[in-house]
Amino acid sequence: MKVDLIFKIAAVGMITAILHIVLEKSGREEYAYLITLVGVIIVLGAVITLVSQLFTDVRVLFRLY
Amino acid sequence: MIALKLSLLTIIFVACTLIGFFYGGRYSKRVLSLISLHESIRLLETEIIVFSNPLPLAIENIRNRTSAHVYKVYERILNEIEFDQSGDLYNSFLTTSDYLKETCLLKQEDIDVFLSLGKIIGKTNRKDQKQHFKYILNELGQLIEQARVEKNTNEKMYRSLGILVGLGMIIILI
Amino acid sequence: MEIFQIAGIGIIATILIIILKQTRPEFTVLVSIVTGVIIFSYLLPKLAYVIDTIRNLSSRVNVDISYFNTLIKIIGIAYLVEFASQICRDADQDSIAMKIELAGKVIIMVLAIPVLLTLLDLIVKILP
Repeated sequence: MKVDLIFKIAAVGMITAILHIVLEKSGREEYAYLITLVGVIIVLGAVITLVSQLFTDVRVLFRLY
Repeated sequence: MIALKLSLLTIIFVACTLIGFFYGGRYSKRVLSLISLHESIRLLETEIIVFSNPLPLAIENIRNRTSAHVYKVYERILNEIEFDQSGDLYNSFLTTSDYLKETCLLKQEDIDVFLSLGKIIGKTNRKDQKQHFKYILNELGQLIEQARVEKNTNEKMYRSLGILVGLGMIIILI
Repeated sequence: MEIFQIAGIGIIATILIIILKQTRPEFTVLVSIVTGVIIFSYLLPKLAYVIDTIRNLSSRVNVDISYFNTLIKIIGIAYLVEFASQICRDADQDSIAMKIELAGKVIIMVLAIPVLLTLLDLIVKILP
């Protein structure tokens, strides 16, 4: 089921949070920002496929052509 | 299918962790190399200043007494002295710079300090050499301190970075 | 019963969002979008059943099928607009949510114009 995507996103968020802390402690703020960006983009890729699937489902159901 | 997936994920995780550990290990290797270099140069100083041995003999003595990290360095210098008849010791020192850079993982500034030893050794009188040795040992001590600070901040970071990137990849791939 | 699953998903997602909110607020929007999509996709088969039933009924009572299709489309647009504007509201973007709702209203109005025209025609015919 698609429910595990919720946990996946939350886990990615926590890991990026830890990475952010680790990188910030060793004085590399620019990489920390980049890591957050990469995490958001990866998760966004998964979310967008799900949303587009929902939109096609709704389109088929309500005949919105 | 699940077993295959699980084993591949484990391989990815282990690989990322190992990469992080190796990358962090470079910093401690540099510190170790610098310390043994420092030690060996102090031995060289005693050999030259106190016992007044000729250079090839002095270097051979150090080679036999030093730790495994820099054993090869002095071995190379010794070979080069036998081989190279131009009489310039700096050339013999110069041939070790590749080895110092790639195997001992030293930085250019560390190598420069070590090479400057080759420029002055066996060329001036004893008093002058003593001063130079003092200067070089001081410089190396400072570099060791610097490398330690760098190791403390970076080694931990690279290790946790490796583990966390491995975990992140697993979570994305699951 | 699906309602237990949906309720569970909602509660779990809320807890995760609260955990993430302190450190990484960027991910909370994504979690809430996915939760919304999953709950919506649970509901879609039920809605399909309802719509099929209504379509059967309308074919039985001999109403023009094109009007009925317009009605279904309007309901679908309303659902989608609600979904999108709620996501924008969650991320504190009220103005974008308002604009999405405005767009939905305009499109619904455009879809309703043929129905309105036939209604006017009918009135004109009835009037002497």
